Amino acid sequence: MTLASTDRENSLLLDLYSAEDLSDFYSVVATALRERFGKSEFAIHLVDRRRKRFLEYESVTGFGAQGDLREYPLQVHGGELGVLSVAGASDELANYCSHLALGLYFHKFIDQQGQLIDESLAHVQALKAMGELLGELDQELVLNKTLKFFVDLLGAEVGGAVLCEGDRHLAEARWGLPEEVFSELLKTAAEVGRVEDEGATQRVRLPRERTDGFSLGSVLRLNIDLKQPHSAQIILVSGEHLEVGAHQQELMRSCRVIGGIALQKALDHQEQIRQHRLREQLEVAKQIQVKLLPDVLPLSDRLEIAGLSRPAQDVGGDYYDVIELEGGDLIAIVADVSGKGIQAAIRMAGLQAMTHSLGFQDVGPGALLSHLNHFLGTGRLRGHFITACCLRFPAAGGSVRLASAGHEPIIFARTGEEPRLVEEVGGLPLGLRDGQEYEEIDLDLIEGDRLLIYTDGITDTRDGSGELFGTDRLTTGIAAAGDADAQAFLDSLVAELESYRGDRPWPDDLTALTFHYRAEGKN
Amino acid sequence: MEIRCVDNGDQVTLSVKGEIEVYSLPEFSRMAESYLGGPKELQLDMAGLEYIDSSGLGFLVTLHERMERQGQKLVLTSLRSHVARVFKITRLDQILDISSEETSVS
Repeated sequence: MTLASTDRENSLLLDLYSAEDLSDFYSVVATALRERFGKSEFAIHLVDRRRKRFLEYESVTGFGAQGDLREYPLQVHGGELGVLSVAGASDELANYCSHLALGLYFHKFIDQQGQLIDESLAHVQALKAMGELLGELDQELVLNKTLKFFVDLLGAEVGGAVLCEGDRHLAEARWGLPEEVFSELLKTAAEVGRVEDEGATQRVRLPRERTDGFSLGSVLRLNIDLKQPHSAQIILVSGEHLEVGAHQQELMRSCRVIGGIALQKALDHQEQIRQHRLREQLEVAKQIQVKLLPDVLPLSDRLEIAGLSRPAQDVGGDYYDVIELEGGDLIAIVADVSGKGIQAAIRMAGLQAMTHSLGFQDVGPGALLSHLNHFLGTGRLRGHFITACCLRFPAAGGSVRLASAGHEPIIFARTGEEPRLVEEVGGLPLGLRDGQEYEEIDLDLIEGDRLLIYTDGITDTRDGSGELFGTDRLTTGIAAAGDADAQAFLDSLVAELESYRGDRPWPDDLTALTFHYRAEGKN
Repeated sequence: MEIRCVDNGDQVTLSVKGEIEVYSLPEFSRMAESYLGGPKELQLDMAGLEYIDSSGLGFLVTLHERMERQGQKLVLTSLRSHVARVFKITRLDQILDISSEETSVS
């Protein structure tokens, strides 16, 4: 034995590693324990693969069977080998035990070629090594380590692993396997389709010309079970015949499960990150959307105006606005952009910008809708569309002109008359077909007339039994509003909807814009 | 939402029960899209459909156009009155092929 270092720790370690064989190793341990720690009697117990403890070595016969010994764990890479038992405690001994365990590992379980001698320990170690993967959250790293683990376990020369979501490859890992051969092997594995032994292994034969001259002696495929739509497989290749013994089979099965759990955990983690980012984006979209809605509505001598828009959850696609033109005319619009989330917010932002630029060109409501439809283009909304209702109030008062693109009919209410749905105008929603003309109608306005423009979030609100609020309740509510000003009427409408829905969530975005006409001007 | 399917070769009928809205739409759209390029006619029996929201309507319009391009026909049948009203308001009854008989159930 030669000591290359005077460093105490290193010399202990070198002593342990340079032992000739296992019995030499134990005599090195006995000397170190006696001379450096004052413990002349000790015992070493190991655990087998069923985690049962057995006596491996004792310095004095019967010592290991004593009950009141202090035990120091022997661990390698977090894997439990067993314990060292001595009488009495020593802090330094705990430190020495990590070296002892490493030395024991090499002398008892690893041969000159670096091969494991004792498979019972290999089982524990392999599971532990795989278990360490559970702490990793990077799916590529987990895939890589899992692959490397199986390459080592089966003594394969090269291998590859792939993690998929449906047909899409999320991550790939290769260990000495050319990319083109790997993809050919994956294809073949898919063609073969049948998996033996509960999906554990499968032998694949490949004609040499399909592997670009790469010599394939033996190919094994392992499936790793993951939650749908994810899947992973590992392909191991060896020039020699890959022999999978009964013990390795068992080990592979356990490690496939652990590999699956580790990959799933990494995938779940990625999903959490994705969800978190999405929530952040939605929050931004929501802020944008709120900013697009009018803070303050224009003041008008003859019109009380009140509006409200509330997204159901996350981000919706409702929009309303009232724009005052140069001559004092007012343009009002209520729109429902189909779909939810960021896409809906973007469409709404586009609609807002277009409405503002068009509104100032002094066009009527029908022409404004035609222009909007033209700019939105056919099919550009990809399966979505926008319903919109547009009104123009002349500054002189006395009337309103309106047009609708597939929107819920507005409600018109006059004192002493039944409120009615204005269903006589309409056209296709925006963004479906180009070249649409939207007809307009004029309604006369007299003192006390009320208009309500809304989105279906209002009529689709449900009560506890699931019944829709519907237009009848809405017209009843508007008839009962009496002489309340526009804001008071809107507040009472929202209060009624709140009590109607009870605990049920809002079905959709909720938007309402209401006008109350005052022929003589507001005080 | 429940979907039942009767496959008569050239004509497939999907009976939809419940609601087509933003959360159930993916399941419905997967099912319906699987018949793209398939039968000559895809009928959607909507007698059991209680509610359809704007994303559902948008999907039907797109499906209608995609099927038309493939020479297939999409027909909506047995709409309940309040569902039919939605198609009428949005004027989608002018685009989609809706069989005129309405079910008496509402």
